This record gives sequence, structure tokens and C-alpha cells, in this order.
Amino acid sequence: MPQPSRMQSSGGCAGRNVWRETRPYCLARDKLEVEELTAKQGVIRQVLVITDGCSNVGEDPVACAERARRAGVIVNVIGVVDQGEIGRQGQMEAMSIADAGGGMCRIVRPSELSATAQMVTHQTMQMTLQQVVHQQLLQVVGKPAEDLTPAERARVMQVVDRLEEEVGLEMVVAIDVSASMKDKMPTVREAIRDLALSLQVRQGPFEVAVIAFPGDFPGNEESPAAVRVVQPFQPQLDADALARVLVARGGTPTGPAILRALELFSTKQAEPGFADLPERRWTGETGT
Amino acid sequence: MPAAGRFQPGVWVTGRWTGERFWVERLLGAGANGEVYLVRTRRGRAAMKVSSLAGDIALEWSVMEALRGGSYFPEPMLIDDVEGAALYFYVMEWIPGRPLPARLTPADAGRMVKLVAHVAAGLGLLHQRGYAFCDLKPENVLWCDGFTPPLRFVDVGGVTPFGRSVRQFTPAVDRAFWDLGTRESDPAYDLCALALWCVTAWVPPNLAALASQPPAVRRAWLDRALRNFPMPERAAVLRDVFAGRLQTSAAFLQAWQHPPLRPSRMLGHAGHPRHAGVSGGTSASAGLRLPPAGKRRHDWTDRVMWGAVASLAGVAAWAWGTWLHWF
Repeated sequence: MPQPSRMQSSGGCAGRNVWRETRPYCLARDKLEVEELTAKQGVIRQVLVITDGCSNVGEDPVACAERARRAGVIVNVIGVVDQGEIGRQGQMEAMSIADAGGGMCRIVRPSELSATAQMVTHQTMQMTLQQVVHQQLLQVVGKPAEDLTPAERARVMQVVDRLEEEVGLEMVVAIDVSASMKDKMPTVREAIRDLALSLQVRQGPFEVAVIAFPGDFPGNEESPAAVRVVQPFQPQLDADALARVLVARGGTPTGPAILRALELFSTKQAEPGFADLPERRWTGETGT
Repeated sequence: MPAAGRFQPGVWVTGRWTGERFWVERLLGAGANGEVYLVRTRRGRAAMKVSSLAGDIALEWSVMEALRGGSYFPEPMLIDDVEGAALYFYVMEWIPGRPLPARLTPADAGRMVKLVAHVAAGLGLLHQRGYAFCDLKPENVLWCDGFTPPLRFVDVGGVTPFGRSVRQFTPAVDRAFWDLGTRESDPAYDLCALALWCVTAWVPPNLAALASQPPAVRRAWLDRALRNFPMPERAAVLRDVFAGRLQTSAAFLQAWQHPPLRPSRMLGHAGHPRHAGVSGGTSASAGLRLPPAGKRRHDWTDRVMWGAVASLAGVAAWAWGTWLHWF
């Protein structure tokens, strides 16, 4: 498909490379929290925000992302644009959210959305685990990551790689469904399905929840700014529920959406996780 | 801030750990996580993969070490960090070659048969070691004149041990995108990618449009494209790959080089309404060539049979004549 790439090279704004540059996560000052996160239950928690513009309703999304990171949740942002209509302000905001949320930010056209969502998820998972392993190494061997020789690093990365395949992953996908997303919704839907397809075949447990914002849809007139939960945490993506997500009226409450995602994580932690229960068939044996 | 194409030609790069110096000749290609340069070393020209992600460089290096010797991938030479910058690199064998074409015309049929056989052979070697290529797009396969084998693979970024989830792929050749199976690394994933290249090289898909369609619609597109495939007997082989009936590269290679004749199937496809297209006419004529071929063989066996009957009758008559003393 030569066309999209051609458009990309001519249509991008001057600062495009900056946004597309791989942004290392900013967890350096929160090493303690990361450690706590994985020590507690060996689960990585991520929010993926898919949007095409600026937030204009509710809390400041950057502050919300900051809160998420403090709670051990990484926030990634993907801006979807057709012809660069997201604007400089939208790009700045997307980047600030990802920065505050310890995640990555990418601005892409719809055709690249699926691949980007998977790359962003993979890279932030890898970086979180790398951080944890390096922290362990520092404690056990007393060697900071920068002092590892390339050969040692290769061995460390093999461990990280295996962890990434086996660690638990909980993800909330937050979709912007404001009017301007109308034409992109089919692509967004398929991209999320595709992402779930990739994450399900990992060996570690996986659960996904989907929320849509704004929540102004028929039957929710009393609180139009509310964020709508499309599906709660489940090991599989509910394709039918996702297919029913339509464009809604109203602004873009990105901040409230991130807070709603955090709520989902905390209620999930409060109730017993069924992911811990074995999948094998119980054939009647008793005892511990 | 390191920008794309971070080394200009003519720059010297020094390794932090080995102290080795490399002269950058030119950029060979840029990928998702870094760039590959042609460099001059004191032992000769080589390729250098550079990235700002230390982890990716380390992981790719481990994979290359695991594949060292007798694979279609470049041989790893050394891994190091760039002195004075937060950049990481490894140096590998330089593979001068042309990538496989993303598009083919009907005149390329013979060439495709040969190329696919070579790729399948390379996959066989890789699969023997328990790894799948996973990102088997045409750009990652180079045709190198003067090499034996004349085909090489580049970019180990997607190479994954069997049983793990695939994490680097290209939708056009991704099994899950086309609703043909999971995104789990196994030999059939690569065969699927190869078969998908065969199909999409003839009939280019509009991926942007298909990406907004449910997987079942993509699969229907693929079925239509297969009907226009200019080699009907090999289309049947591709169909077997998509249905999961061919699971190993050896089985695929065997079927691809000696495609079974399936008259009933081919008649069925000849009966389908054909779409107007470049390959439509070719595939129609290929489908029609078979009945005359069958008829010719029938004539030939007939003649042998009647000849044998006649000579037998002659010999019998002569024997009876001799026996009864008629002569």
C-alpha cells in the first residue's frame, strides 16, 4: 500500500519526527512504585487512550495521567489523524498525557493504528519489566544498568523477554467517540480487536476493559459527560459490545476517562481476581 | 536528541567496550526501532544496526547468536555501545541484494515458483531450530546474485521461538489479519505469510480499506483473489496452507514443487465467473489447457493398447497355424 506512506511523507507537520520518536518512559523517579507494583501481584496495568483531538471537558488529563502513574498504571496515548487535523495543541496534549502517565505517545493515520497500538503496548511492557529487572540487579549485584556489558545486557533482555510473555496484563482501552471520530470508528474497532488477538495468545493472563468517552448516548441523558463502560474486565474482547459503540454527542472528557479507567482497576483489585483461579477441570478431588 | 538517520556518511563510530572504530559508508535501511548502515571495519565491509533502545539491540543479538551458522540470516559479528552517545549497535554480515518484489505480473509465474521454493527451504532451516520468522514481508527477503543459496533473510526483529506470541508482523502477510488463525509463533504462521505474499503479489489488496472491515470480509477478499491466481494447481496448494492442511515447510515445499493435479477442483474453478483483471485471462487459459492435455494422453494409451492386442492376435494366429499345420 504505497499511498499512505506517500501521504505520510508529504503531509506530516514539521515536528512529526519528534512525536514519532521513541519516547522512553519516565519512571526513573518512581522506581519504588514500579517495584511495589510488580512485587505485589506480578501484573502490568496499562491504559491506552485513542483520541483525535483535545480534551475540553472535566479534569485536566495530564493531572489524571500523573495520578495513574502514581497508582502504578501506565498511560499510552495514540492520536489518530486523517489529514493532520489534530493540530499542534492536540499533539502537545497527547504527549504531555503520555509523559505524565509514564507511557508513549504516537500520532498516526488510521491505517497505522493497529500496528501502533501493539507496538506501544509491547514497548511499554518491555520497559516496565526492564526497569524492574534492572532494579533487582542493582540490589543483588550492585551494578547499575549502564554498567552492564552488551553480553550481560543480552542475557538480562532474555529474562525480560520471557517475563513479558508470562506476566499478567490488565488493560483499559479508552476510545474517544466524539463526533469527529465517526469515519475512523470502524478502523478503531478492528484495531482494538486486533490488539486483543495479539495479547490473548501470550502465555500470561490477560484481561481487557473498554470504555468510551463522551458518554452522551441514548439512555444516558442525565449525565452526558459521563464515560461509558463498553465492557468490564474480561479475558476476551466482547466484539458485539464493541460493534455497538457509536459516535456520541458532546465534548472530549479525556481526564474523566482516565479516572474512570483507574476506578476500574481499583474495583478489580478489591474483588478476588478470577485470573488467579486455575483453569483446569475439577474432577472431584478434595484437600488443599 | 537523536533524529532519524542519526549517522551521516563519512562519520566514524567508536565502540565503548571494544574500542573498535567503524567508518559509516551509507544508510542501508531504517526500521521501526533503528537503522542499518553499511560500515567499513578493519576486517572488511559489514552492516551495523543502530538503535536508541538497548533492549531491542540486545534481544536481536541473542536471536542472531542462536541462529549462528547455517541459517539464511546474516552472521553476527560483534555487539557494542556507541561511545559518547546513548546509542547501541551490533555489527553483522552485510547482505548485498535486492528485496523480493511486492508486486508481480503474470509473466513472472516461473520466477515466483523458484523464489517461493527458495524461501520455503530457508524457512525449513529456521524452523529446525525452533524459531519462526514471523515478519516475512518481501522487503525482508533479499535476492543475492552469486550467493549460495541465492536468497537471504534480514531483520531478526520478528524472529520468535515456537509457542510464543508474535510481536512484530506486517498486516499484508499476517495470518490473524486475514482470519486464518492465531498470532502464535509456529511453522504454519510463516507458511501462511509466504502464501499470502504469493496471493497479494498478483492482486494488490487495499489494506487501508480492509483494515476497517471485520476479519471475515478480509478472508472473503482473499478467497476471491485466490480464484484469480494464475497457477490453479498451485492455488490449491496455497488453499491448503490457509486451511492449515500444510503445517511444515518440508510438506509445503513438496506440494509446491509437485502440485497435485486436482481435475475436479480445477473444473470447479473454471466454472466460476471470472473478474476482469490482469490475471483473469491467464488463469482462464491455464485452466482450459488441461482437457486437451488429458485427451492427448488418452489417444497415446489407446494406440499402445490396440497395437498390443493386434500383435497378440497375430502371434496367436501364427501359433495356431503352426500347430494345426496350415502352413
